[in-house]
Amino acid sequence: MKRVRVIGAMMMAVVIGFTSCQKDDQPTPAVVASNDFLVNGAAVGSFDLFGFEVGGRVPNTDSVTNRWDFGMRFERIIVNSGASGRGNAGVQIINQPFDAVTTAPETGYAFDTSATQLAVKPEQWYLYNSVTRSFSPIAGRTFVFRTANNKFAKMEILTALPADDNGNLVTPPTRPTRIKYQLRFAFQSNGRNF
Amino acid sequence: MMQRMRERIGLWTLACLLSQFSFAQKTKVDTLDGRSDDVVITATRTERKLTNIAVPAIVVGQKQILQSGSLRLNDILQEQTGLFVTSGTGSGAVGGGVFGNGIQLQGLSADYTMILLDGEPLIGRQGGVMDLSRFAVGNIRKIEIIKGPASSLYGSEAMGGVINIITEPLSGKQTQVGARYGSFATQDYHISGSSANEKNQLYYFLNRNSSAGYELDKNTPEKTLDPFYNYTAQLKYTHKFNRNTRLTLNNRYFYGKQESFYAINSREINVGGHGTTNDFTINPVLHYQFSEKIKNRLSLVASGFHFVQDLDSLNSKANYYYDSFRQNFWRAENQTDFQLGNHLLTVGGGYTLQSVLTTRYREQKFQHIWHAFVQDEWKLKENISLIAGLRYDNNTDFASRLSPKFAFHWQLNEKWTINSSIGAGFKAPDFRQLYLSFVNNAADGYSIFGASEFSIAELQRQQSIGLIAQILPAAFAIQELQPEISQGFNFAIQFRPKAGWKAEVNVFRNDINNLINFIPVATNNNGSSVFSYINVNRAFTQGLEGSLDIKFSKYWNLSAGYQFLQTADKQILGAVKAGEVFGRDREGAPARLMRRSDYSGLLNRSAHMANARLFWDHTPSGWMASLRAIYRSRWGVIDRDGNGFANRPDEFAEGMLHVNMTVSKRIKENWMVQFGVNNLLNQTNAMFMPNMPGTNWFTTLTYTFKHKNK
Repeated sequence: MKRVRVIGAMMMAVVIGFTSCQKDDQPTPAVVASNDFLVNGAAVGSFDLFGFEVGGRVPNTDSVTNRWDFGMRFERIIVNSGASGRGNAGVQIINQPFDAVTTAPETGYAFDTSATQLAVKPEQWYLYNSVTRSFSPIAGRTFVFRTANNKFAKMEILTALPADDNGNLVTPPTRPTRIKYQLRFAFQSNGRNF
Repeated sequence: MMQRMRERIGLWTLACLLSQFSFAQKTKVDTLDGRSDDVVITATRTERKLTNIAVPAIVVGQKQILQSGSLRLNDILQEQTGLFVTSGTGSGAVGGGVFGNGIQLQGLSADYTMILLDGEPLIGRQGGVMDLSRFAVGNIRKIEIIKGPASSLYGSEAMGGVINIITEPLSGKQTQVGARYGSFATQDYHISGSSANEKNQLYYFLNRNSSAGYELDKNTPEKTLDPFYNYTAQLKYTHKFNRNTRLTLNNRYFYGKQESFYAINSREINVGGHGTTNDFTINPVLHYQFSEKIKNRLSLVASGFHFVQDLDSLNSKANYYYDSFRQNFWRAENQTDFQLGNHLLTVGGGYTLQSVLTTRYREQKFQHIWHAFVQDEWKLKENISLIAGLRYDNNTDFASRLSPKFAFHWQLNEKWTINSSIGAGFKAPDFRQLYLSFVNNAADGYSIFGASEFSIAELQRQQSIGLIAQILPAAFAIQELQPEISQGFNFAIQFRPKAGWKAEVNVFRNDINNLINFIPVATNNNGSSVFSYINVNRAFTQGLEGSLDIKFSKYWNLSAGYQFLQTADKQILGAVKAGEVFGRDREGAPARLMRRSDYSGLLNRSAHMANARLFWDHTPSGWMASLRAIYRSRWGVIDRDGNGFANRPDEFAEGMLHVNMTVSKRIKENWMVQFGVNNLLNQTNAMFMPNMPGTNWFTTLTYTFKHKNK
């Protein structure tokens, strides 16, 4: 497929919006944000780290802290606990759209038991297309995290696009060195309601 | 009666017009000679009048091919009702395209259409698709298109239908030379001729076709279609030993070469080379008639297909990519027809040996297949026939298959006819699904193994030495691959109010089971996946097609066709109905629940396809003209939100309307000049229809020399 181009100019815009949920039983509103996350596009090498409390990228020098909650490399996801980190993070994927997930479950959070037995299985959140050789995040799959510091967050992966080191999108046959994810997430520092 | 029918049928039986410029007048002989446009052999493997067959069929005659100015098989097929030519990716002209120009029939993809040349299967599918641009149409007498499953007669691949290219020459002694020049430096030359006496008939055809290619997207460094040239040669010889015995030797050879240039990780072309295709067929057929009522046909086929793509880095001259695919096919088949009262019994069987050797398989692979078939056509009454058929296919490498078919033909009166059929189709697992042994070292190291190359024991061995980290539960579901199977149903009503007028409506439904897909079966120690093939998916296609032929004056013909199509992956549709599937209305938008109305079916299918063709043939002056319009509504091309189907604007290709025209003039008895313009509205889509160039023109000059009959 030498001529397939990714039409995604609108993805280039970094949309960061802060809205607040006004609910009576919600003392602290969850912080909802969107963020671009540029990660290592190779199957080997280091993971790029993300922290919900920080609201974005956490440098790899902080990999042995609780500042990050999950990490990504190509289409692999690790969480900061168990075999992957010193935190207490866990994750589960709910087959509901982002907005429909209003409460983080109390239990059911998975963690990485080894470098190959990861909490997040590929088929849970993306579809690989053997014809276009692209992978598309499945709409309506919401990640719910218990963060490294025992707070809660929900997240959806809006897009996953091939990019170069500077975050510019590339088209086949140019091989991407990075994957540019657009994430939407809500962080709740107090309780399990979003 | 027979005379009347002959007048009514088809657009192209204006035999006298045809003969004026290319064929001797006297060659129009008995209707059931297999050459006439109103005779179909593909539907029942016996010669039948088009009005008397029970399955949906289209016959495209030489006159239509010629008047449309078609050069290659895909040119003419894309103008037929309900047929859609799928896109190649730029190197299709020599059969090397990643997908090639395949044909979609009744919504079934190109993998499921069988292509025959003079009744024998053609080989050389790449990625499941037979590239139609490999076949010149200058030597074609007619094309028969049978829709719906026909595995009861033809076995594997005849799931969506059968296209039979018939090159039977007309008798008589003549020589024809032709030359064409057109846009993109397209050049096409041919010489053909036939010679015949009481006992012998010889026909030859030589063709050279080339193009400088074209560019639809100036933002990509690569051309959309790379330059190519190819040669086709055909030699057909028939010897009549006596009244009852006839031997035909049919040989075809094709050679094509196409440039292939890529910009890999660069804005400039930096990798280049060629794709080369060689294919040949040698096909002796012995017809022997024991008596008027018992006829026998023995056919032997030897054919080969070899495609090589060889690319080098333009800077370092080092080899960048090399791929070779070599397939051989041998078949012996016998068919006997018994006329027993009002039953016509057809019994046959055969043996096939196929081999394939490619850079992506571990070793040369062989397949042995034997098959037997029986069909009874029972003429209950003069106007009612019942057809029942059954075929058994046995293969060494996958499960065997039994394919039945029932068909019913009822001519209510002179104007109305009802046809209905129900039949089974199957497609054997193809070579890559069985034998692929591919490790992608360039990407993340994923690997794919065909079902025959896969074993749990091997995975466990690799796990014990640390290559494989985890064997997934799905691995234990991998077993002997079953053929992909379908059941098809067709019901048609035909109305023929008067000679040259015909209206037909056909409803169809195809249920497809056991579709083969690949699934991850294990995880390598570097985190990449191991894949293998399994029968999982189920789908259906259903719809309605209508066609209209109107000969509204002596010189004018109008034909129109329409197909409405619905398709679905049953699993996805079920999940949509259950409210489990979400989608995004645009990239990055929040996910929302998909409703039934959001589900657009299988990718690459248009809900509406229509065509209208107007032909004018003014015999007195020698002028001819054609104006043809082909429309298809939008079709899903990609899934960007992971729900497995197209549901938002950027997942569809826009609908297209193509308008083509020709003007021709016969000069004296021997010359013909033709001028044509294709794609008058300049509708293109570089990404999803790279095989469709923008507006282009051509002009053709043909000279026919008819040798005097003694």
